[in-house]
Order: sequence, then C-alpha cells, then structure tokens
Amino acid sequence: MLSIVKRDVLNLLVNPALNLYGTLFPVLLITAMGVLNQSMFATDIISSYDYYTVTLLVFIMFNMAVISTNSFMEVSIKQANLRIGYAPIKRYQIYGSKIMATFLFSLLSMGIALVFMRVIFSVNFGIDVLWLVLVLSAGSLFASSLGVMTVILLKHEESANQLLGIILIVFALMGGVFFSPYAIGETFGNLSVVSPFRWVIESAFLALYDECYQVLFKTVGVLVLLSGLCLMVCQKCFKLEAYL
Amino acid sequence: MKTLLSVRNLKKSYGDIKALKGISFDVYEKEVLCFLGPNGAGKSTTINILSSILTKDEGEITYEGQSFEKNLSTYKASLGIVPQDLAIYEEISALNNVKFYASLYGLKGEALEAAALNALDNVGLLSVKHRKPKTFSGGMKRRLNIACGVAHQPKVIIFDEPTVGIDPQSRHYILNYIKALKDQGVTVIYTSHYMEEVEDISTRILIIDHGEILTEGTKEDLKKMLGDTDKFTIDIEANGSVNTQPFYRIDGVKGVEVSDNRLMFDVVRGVDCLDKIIAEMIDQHIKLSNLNKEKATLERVFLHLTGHALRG
Repeated sequence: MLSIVKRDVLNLLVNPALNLYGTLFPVLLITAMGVLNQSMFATDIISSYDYYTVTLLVFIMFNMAVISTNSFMEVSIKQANLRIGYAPIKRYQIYGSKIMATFLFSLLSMGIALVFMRVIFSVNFGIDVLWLVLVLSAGSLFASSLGVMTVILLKHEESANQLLGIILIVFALMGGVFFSPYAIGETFGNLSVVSPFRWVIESAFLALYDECYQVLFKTVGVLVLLSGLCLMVCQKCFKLEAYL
Repeated sequence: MKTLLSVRNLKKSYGDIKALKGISFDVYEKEVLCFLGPNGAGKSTTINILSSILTKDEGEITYEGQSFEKNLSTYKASLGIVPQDLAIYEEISALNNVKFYASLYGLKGEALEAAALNALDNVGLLSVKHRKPKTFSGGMKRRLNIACGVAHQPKVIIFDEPTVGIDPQSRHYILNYIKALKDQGVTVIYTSHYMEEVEDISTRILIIDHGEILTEGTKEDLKKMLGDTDKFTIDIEANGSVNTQPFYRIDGVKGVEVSDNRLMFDVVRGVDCLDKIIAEMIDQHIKLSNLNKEKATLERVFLHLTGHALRG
C-alpha cells in the first residue's frame, strides 16, 4: 500500500497543472480576495486576509475532490493505475491509495498556503492554527473520499469532475466562502446550513477566535463519518472491470 | 505435458451480447499458446478473465489444479500481464516504472533493483533506463510495457497484442524475446491478429470467433485442415465471359471460383495441371495478368474458418 501511495503522491507532484493548483493557486486566490476586500474588514479583530485564508482554504480543501478523481482516472495515468490491479493486492488498496495520496497532497498544499499567509501577510490564526489544520484535514479527507467515490460510481473522470464542480461551487456559495449567503436572500441563507463549507468555516472561526471547540469537534466527527461512508460505497462498488 | 491452466465452459455476456459461449481449453506448462481471432471474437474477454480483472458469468478456471478464485493471490503472483494498452507512467523513468510494478509482487531492495534491470535488459532498454517514457518511441514504450509485466519473473505471461502499431525492429525484438521466454520454460499466452507472428512463435494455436473456439492444434495440424489442395489465384482482365465448367474437366481441379477479375482454383496437390488451366483460359480468350500459388498458410486456415466478411 505504501509504495502505491508514494507513487500516487509523486504522480500528483509531477503533474504541472495539479502542482500549480495545489501550491500557487491557493496563495494567489487568498491574496487577491484579501486585497480586493480589504476595506470591508476595517477592524482590528479580523482582517480580510485572516477571513479569506480560512474560507478559501476550506474552498481549496473541498476542491481536492477533483484532484482525487484526477489521481485515480486522469487519462494519462488511468491505464497505468489499472495495471496495479493485476498484482496480488487487495482491492481497497487501489482506490484507498488515491484517497490517501490526495489527502497528503492537500496537507502539503495547506501547509504552503498557511506558512505563506503567516509570513507575508501576518495572518492572525487566533488561539492556535492547529484547530484550523484539524478541521481542514477532516474536510480534505472527506473531499478526497468523495472524489474517488464519485469517479467509481460514474466510471468516468470527466463526468465526475463536472458533477463535483457544480456541487462544490453551489456549496461554496451557500457556505459563505466568498460572501455571506444571506446577501443573496434569507431563504438561500437559511438553506446554506446544508453546506459542509459553512460547517467547516463556522467551526473554524468559533475555535480560532472564540475558543469554542464543541462545533469544531462535531464537524470533524461528521466529516470523518462521511468519509467512512464514502469508503464503504467505494468498497461495495469498485470493480476494475468497469474501467476496461 | 503438465496442465497449468484449465478453463471449462467459460461464459461471459455483456447485456444481450454473448462474448463467450462456454469455451474450454487447457494451457500446458512451457508452451506458447496463441489466440487467433478477428475483432470481437472474444480474445480480450478471455484474456481479461484470465487476468482476473473481469468476472466470468459461468465456468471454471483452475490453476495447477486449484480453483483460481480460491487461490487468487497465489495465482496473481505467478501471472505476468502485458496489456494491449500501454500501461506505464510517462513522467517517471523507465527503471522506476519497472521497479514500481515489480514491487507490488513483493520484491524489495537489491532483488527488486536486479529484477528491474534484468527486465529492461531483456527488452533492450537498459541503456535508457533513466529516461522518461514520454521521450520514447512507440516501440520503446511497447517494450517497456512488456518489462513492467515480466520483471517479477512470473510462471505464466499473458501478452495481449503486444506488437500493435510498432516498427518491424521492435516487433522482431519482442518476438525473439518471447521465444527466449519459451526456451527458459515460461508459459506464454499470446493474442494477435498477425498470422506470421503466431506461425513464428506458437507451439499451439487456438482460433476463436463469435465467442466459440473453432479449432485448436499446432500450426501443422491446422494447415492440414485445408486438405490436400493448393490454391492458384489468377488475375484476369475481365470476367464477363468466363465459363467455369471446362475447368472442372481438367484432371486435378477440385474447385473454381470467379470474383472481381480473379479466378481461383483449388487443385489437388501434386497434380501438374496449371498448363491445362492456362490453355483453357486461352481458348476462352481470357487475358491473364498475374498468377499466384497460395501456400497452405495459417492465414488461409484462419479465413477458411472465420470467413472473408469484414468485421465491425
């Protein structure tokens, strides 16, 4: 399993597009949103960089679902990945390694963004940045599992990415990644409670700035549970022959 | 001969399409068993089931007398697969590709390194082991595809059309390599469209079409199926006025066929009647433009069994 995970991580790292997405994109996005919305956060409590580092990292972490579909079924590595299935290994190792690799890749991506924002923009992570890391990691685990599960169910990377792309952007808008969902309307705002983005963002802010950890633990628990659910679906539905 | 793999009444359907209609065959130790068949015959389905990535609907497969499903790990460990599609990572070196796949079979450390280098050497890629496959030619990629499937030194190797779309040099190299594997006592299952390859390397041939095995045997056995006749093909300038009846009166002529400015004669082997055929053609004022004697080739056997109609 370890050698497959290592191979999958390296596959992600040697892909220039995914590399940029994992490293440069978060930093640029947070910086751009931070600069553009600086005036809206004219308080000493929280700056636009503080806010968008949290919300956009949540956005990036959930978007790792798309990376995991790529890690599994991207056209240039699909056949090479399927060849692993000829070896005497367990079925779960094939998809499990993709989830694990994407998860590790997302941690690396998150680490780069957090260090950059702290060093360059002196972002204030409140009580302890580890709370943010914890909830983002849970989000990333769920996203990685969700991506692999979707590609297993749809049997096609492009279809999986299209579906995930739509779902993720809707949940991101509902979750207040870019602006408050109530800005669109009260109904939309109320509906936004179903968005995992909102759970993670709210729980992160509560933990970082209000020392309230209960919601964060619940959120992490739910995300881990959902990840487990995705894994169960993967184990039930994954058949190599579907990709021949 | 010891039976290594035994397949009985193997069936597989895709919806309404019956890809395999209950085929049975054995694979003997140290042989090169070649599967011949047109597109859609059921070759790849059979290979994919034997590779254990496709589940069968019915039938029994045993490996060394044991059900392969009950001993799947042992079976897979002794199997090497060279898939039809290139299954290599383009962005990592040839050596790392081979090492990665061989490591999945439990090889580690120096043994892994040695096995990978040996496999690359066998396919003529040792000198470019640090190059990435994206810089390789089609033939080199095909050879790397082989190295990745055989580095763990399996007892049985399945080659699924390994020479598709490559240059003659690489094809020659691959075929020689397969012959060398046979000499080393490795059992090979090989699928191809190319008759000359199959004639060259096979110890036994299995012709499959429409999900059924039409025949099996050595190439000599199969050629005997064509009977004791030779085939003459004569290109003519027009076929509007050919009267085939007089040809049947010639001693030795067993059959005459006219199609598209061409006359085809089945003639009893050993009977010298070509001069009489040509004389009759002259009598009928048929102008001859080319003459060809077809030998009893595997291609003739194949076309005889599977027909001349184009496949979709």
